Amino acid sequence: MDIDEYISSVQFRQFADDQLRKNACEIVEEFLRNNQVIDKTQLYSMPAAVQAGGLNGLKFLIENQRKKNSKIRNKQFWEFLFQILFAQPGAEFSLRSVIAAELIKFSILEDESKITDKRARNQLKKQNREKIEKVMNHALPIFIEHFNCHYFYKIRLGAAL
Amino acid sequence: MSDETATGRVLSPEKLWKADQILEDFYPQSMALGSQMANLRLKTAQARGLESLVSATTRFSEILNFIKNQAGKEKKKHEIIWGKIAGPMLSQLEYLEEKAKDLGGGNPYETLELKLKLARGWVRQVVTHYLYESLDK
Repeated sequence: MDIDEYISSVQFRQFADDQLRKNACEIVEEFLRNNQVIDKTQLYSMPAAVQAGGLNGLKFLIENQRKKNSKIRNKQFWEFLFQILFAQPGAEFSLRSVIAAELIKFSILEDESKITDKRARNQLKKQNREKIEKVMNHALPIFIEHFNCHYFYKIRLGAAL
Repeated sequence: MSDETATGRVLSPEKLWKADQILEDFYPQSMALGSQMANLRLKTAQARGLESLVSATTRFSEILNFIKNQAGKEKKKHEIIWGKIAGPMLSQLEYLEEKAKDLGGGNPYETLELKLKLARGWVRQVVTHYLYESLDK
């Protein structure tokens, strides 16, 4: 299966419905375990940024928010989100790592460690990164939906502002 | 009449029958939830909104997210209804999701289809009982 076939496959739909949801929920809970709760209005701009500009649109929003926010807890939130979505290599539960694991399952990513030639290895790394980002672009609107809804629910349940 | 489903595949009669059986067995829990919704005086439009979403969606997680969102947007100063029913609703749907995975046997087409079938059966049970119980309120 190539990357385009995967994106239009039922396997991707299942991934978005199941693993991606669990991943987004884990990320919310990880944030709430280690950080102060932020006002939910901070999250409202994310779906529109993704819809308008995809991965780059969200990256631009997060970088902008990291710089301009004056409240420390808001800055921490945007920094956390940046690490989860854009850091390379990401944490084990980062979106990038979860998508990479999914693509390895379908043999869509090629094993970089088997290539000895440095130039060829870098080329392969770049190709793999492009594949992951292509899937991220398709998964991101659903990921943000899972993330926001779980965050709203969790803070409603008890985490005080 | 087309026999295509949302995922383009058709469930076998045996699996459809098993899914119905799961819903039959689950009916007491659905009724309890419907009663809770009626006792909390959830507005009919809100219950119908949930029913419409479950009937129309092609993604199971959209249902979970809708419920979380409804609970998340309730203002603390107003009466809390979704905040009380969201937990039981999510637990019931997650239970049905596990049942769909078992019945789907690792087939992603069937699992997605069964999750939606069970959710649609569930919402009909819950909302119908809620409406019935609301008659006396």
